[in-house]
Amino acid sequence: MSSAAPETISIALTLNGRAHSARVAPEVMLADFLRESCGLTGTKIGCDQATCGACTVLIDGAPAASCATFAWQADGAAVTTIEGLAANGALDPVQEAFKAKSAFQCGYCTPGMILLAKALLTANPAPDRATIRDWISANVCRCTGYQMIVEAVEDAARRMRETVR
Amino acid sequence: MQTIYGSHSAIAPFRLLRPVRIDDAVAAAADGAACLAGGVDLVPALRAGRRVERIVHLGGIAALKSIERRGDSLRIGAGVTYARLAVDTAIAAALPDLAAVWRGVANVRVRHAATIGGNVMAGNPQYDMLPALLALDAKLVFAQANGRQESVGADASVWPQGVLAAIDIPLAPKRRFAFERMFKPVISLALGVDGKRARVAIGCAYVRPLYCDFAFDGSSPEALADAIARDLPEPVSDWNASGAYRRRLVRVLLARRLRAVAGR
Amino acid sequence: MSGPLRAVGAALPRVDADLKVTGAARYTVDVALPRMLHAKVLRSPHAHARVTHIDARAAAATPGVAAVITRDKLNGLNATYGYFIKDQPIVALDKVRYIGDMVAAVAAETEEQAVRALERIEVRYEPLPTVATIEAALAADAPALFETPPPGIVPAYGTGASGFKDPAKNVCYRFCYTTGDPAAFARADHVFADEFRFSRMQHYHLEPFVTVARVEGGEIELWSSCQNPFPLRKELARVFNHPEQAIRVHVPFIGAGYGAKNNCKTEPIAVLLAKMSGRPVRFCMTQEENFLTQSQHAAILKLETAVSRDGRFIARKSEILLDAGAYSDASPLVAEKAGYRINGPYRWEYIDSRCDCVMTNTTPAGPFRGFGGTQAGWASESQIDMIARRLGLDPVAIRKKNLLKLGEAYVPGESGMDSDLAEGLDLVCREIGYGRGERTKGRGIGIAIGFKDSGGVNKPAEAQVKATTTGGVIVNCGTVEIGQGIQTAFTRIVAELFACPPARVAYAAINTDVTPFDQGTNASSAIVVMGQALERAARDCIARVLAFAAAELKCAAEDLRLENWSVIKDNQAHALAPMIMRHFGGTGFEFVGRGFFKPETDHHAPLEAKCVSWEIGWGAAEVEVDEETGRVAVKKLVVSGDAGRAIHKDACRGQDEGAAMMGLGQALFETMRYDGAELVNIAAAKYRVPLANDLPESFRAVTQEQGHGPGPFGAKGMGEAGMLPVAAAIANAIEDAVGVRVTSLPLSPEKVLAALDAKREKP
Repeated sequence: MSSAAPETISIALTLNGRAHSARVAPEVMLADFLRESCGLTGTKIGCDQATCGACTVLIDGAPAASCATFAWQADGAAVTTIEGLAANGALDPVQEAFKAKSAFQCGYCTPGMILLAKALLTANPAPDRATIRDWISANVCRCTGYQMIVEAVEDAARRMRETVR
Repeated sequence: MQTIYGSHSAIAPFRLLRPVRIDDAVAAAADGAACLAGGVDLVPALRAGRRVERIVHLGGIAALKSIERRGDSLRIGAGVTYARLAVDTAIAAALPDLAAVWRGVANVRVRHAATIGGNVMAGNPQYDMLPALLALDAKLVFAQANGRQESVGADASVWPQGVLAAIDIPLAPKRRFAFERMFKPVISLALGVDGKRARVAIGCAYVRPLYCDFAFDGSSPEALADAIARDLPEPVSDWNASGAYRRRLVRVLLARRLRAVAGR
Repeated sequence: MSGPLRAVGAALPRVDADLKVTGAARYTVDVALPRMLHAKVLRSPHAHARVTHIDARAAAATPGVAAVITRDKLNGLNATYGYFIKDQPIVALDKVRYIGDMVAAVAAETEEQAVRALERIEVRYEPLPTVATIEAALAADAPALFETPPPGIVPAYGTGASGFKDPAKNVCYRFCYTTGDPAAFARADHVFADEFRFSRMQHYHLEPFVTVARVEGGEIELWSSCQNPFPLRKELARVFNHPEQAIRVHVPFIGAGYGAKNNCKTEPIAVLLAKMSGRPVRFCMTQEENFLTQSQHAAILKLETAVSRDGRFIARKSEILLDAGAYSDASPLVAEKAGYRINGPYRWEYIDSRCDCVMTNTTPAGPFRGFGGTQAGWASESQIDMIARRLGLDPVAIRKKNLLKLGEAYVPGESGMDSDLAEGLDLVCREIGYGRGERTKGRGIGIAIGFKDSGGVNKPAEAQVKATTTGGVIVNCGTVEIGQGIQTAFTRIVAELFACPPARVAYAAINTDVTPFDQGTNASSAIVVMGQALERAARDCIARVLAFAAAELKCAAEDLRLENWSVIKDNQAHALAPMIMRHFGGTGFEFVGRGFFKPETDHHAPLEAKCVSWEIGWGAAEVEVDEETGRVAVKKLVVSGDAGRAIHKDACRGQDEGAAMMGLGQALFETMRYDGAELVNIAAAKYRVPLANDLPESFRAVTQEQGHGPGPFGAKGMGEAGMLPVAAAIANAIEDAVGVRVTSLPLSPEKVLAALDAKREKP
């Protein structure tokens, strides 16, 4: 093994709306960067194989598996974690909907699921039920059976439309 | 056995190269660096214990993301993501069937990460890109040293050296393209019908997707499907399904798709 | 207390909602201590082998490694753990018994260093013949997984029930239950013998098995994703010869378990590495390791059922073989329940059940939602439909003919049904449209009734309720919030009793030093067992408050009523906070109430205590079968559980729907696939679990509130019922649709097509 100092890369990103820069080793995953370096433990590791979606964060508005995205891949991007949704102590409409509809149980998939829903509603403010089901099929929830999550996303869409008006 | 306790936190250190020119990527790859586009295949391998000294990231190379019309075909950069393939206006205009199918492939998260080039080069029999390209008579364009390019049909049995740079899909306004994916991981079928020429590509059943060219004038879809299924080499039997069941599904699903193309 | 309920059943968000939707909820995976090391475990690549040589010196010398465990480091410990049978070693002693069996462990500064160190451990194995299936394990020439039977116990049973340890080679436990007159068989018009096969799933809890342990100054402290911290503490005390009072277990939120997270999983290794290194150790499994640690029980169920020609159930003889995997884990307990539940909620003249735990060289099987009731329901509810069709009877009518009535004892010596079974059956039949409309080709409807005794066995529970000066209330009990919503349910119950706003009631963190004893969050027992203890604790606390106020107001406590932290006397409210501070001084006081509940030990009851409650899951499915491919589409799925009284309606609905989707996955496609003794589809990338796209077009859970439960306000447990009927309902629907019966899971398209082919070939 080489005895040279490990190489680090300088990255600059917008994290939950604020400019953030750091030096990261190439092999550091975005999930660890967020959870350990930034102390944002809301992002959870589930399967660790980019399949279950528990680790979902938004990168430039698109859902990404942070367990399988290197931290340097977020260089220059806007990253949103679950901690970035609530503004000034008020919950985001998607969070309000999940809360009102009790669309969670153990809560482990919930941060990823909420961000996934947020991405959907940003791209498509009035999705039909089939579209919602299809979109949230990106993430596994083992507890709820999904129906209540689908209803929460519909409720979130309604809340977001009402906020706009 | 490393797979079972590998984790994203235990990936062996590597050096990272982030070229902006394709030539630099070609040189790095020729020199042994592992290529990383969306990471859909490389990252799980790293997590499972594969050690690489150097990784060359292809995501910063604009040339790999271009989409342009070239005579009778559409050239799509290998770095184009599934998501872009599904919504790009040029593709939607030129290849509407393909764009429509691609909206439903994998899931939204994978569609944003996965690139069409990465999917082709992974060589995973379960993957969708290669069967689709076979059905569309596509060509694979490899970038090589000194700015050279080599192009082969997706159906070529041997692919050239180099980095997959683009895919050329022939434009055929009357061509119908359908992709039957509902029975994955047992079987997938990509069907391209252009006039009387047809090609079906079969995924999930062989080490590499198989294809079969045949004539189809709209009549006897069942008999055709029957003959094609009967003549197939033995499909793989695995823990998902037996080879016999896979063969049977080819017969049933191909007949259905042919009937749909024939308007019945 | 009078008037309508205000907190119970209120449409308010769950108490853990804010924490969970903001990502602030803390799980064991989020626990980090200063100087914490990371553990990794070396696992056997062989399914069955002697470990002839192990040398970890090079691993110990690897940079960053602080401690290494091999079998020679276990001196002074009781190196094996388990439930009834202590057969599972901390790390392999003489043999490995399944692919993935733990052989050695290291703790290092980083995970990467720990993985590198594992590569340097030299192990030599002498492979032995393997047995990967029940049949192979029971063959006369099968190798024995345990040449010497490990130490264990057989608990006391009541009338009709019996248990046997090591009754046969590779059978670690047998449970038998019998009641009635064996001559009943001879009186029957028909005896139907059928065999059913139940598949094996993995729990797939998104939070892995994980522990952070610290051993300092004679104190063992750990945070663990564990459903039963008190039995864990007791087992760790035994394993480490360490006093129980010097072991402290904390349980934060659990990211799901469905039964997997009981007793020792990551804990012994984490504790030992912490002890050896003098630093905190985190042992967090990967999902692959989860698959190699615990699974559901596959089963072969043989039912011989005697009936009269008009469909009356007379007698049933059943032989159940559970695939226990390589270590006994909870298999003996699952055997008890599979053998006990196999007869369903029906009346029988004679019952003879036997259930064996068969050891195989595969992942140890343990508690999984349904706990024998899933396996039993699959077989029993499938066979009832088969029998109905053979007799030319309607499947719903035959059930109604034999269903136990409300209050009717399950078997002699047992408690009576606390749900009206026919009422629930009528409900799901209505919802699915049973018997309505013309038949569509390829479509069919199936009904099933899932059944289990709930509330655990002879289970004790203790709770404590504290009230502060200003009327804050703290619920202190050992039931773990694992997603089921128990923090919400319990705080609402107490708010109702205190007649205070729900927001005033908090749920204390679980710490075995100060939390009262709980046997485990399992068996759908929280509402009906701990709930009763909690109600008593709340009433005890309120009594103390009223006694205090009565003394202050110089009246009788009976003259007072508590409302919004005031006492009402003669329609006048007297605020308690000023009263308390007047008496105790400005720093105030706390009132503490205690409550205990355990069903009475009763040797006449088969399981030594009458069952506290009965959990029923009514299910109905409408399917469409593609007769050319065998693919089954579930068009409509209805499940219903009886909550007795729904303390939180959405929590009840969520339990039924989540359980039902688990049942749907098992019915159609989800299964652990073994190639010999090797698990082929290990973990997420290859193991398919239900996704939102798998939702039936129409999917409903209907929560009944029949009101007969023993829990507070007539409540009953939920949580497992929704899963129990689904597989059988779908198989029954397939038979209704296309006339074929598949008796093994999953109901894959290939299997259904093969059944259709066989039917077509019959003359």
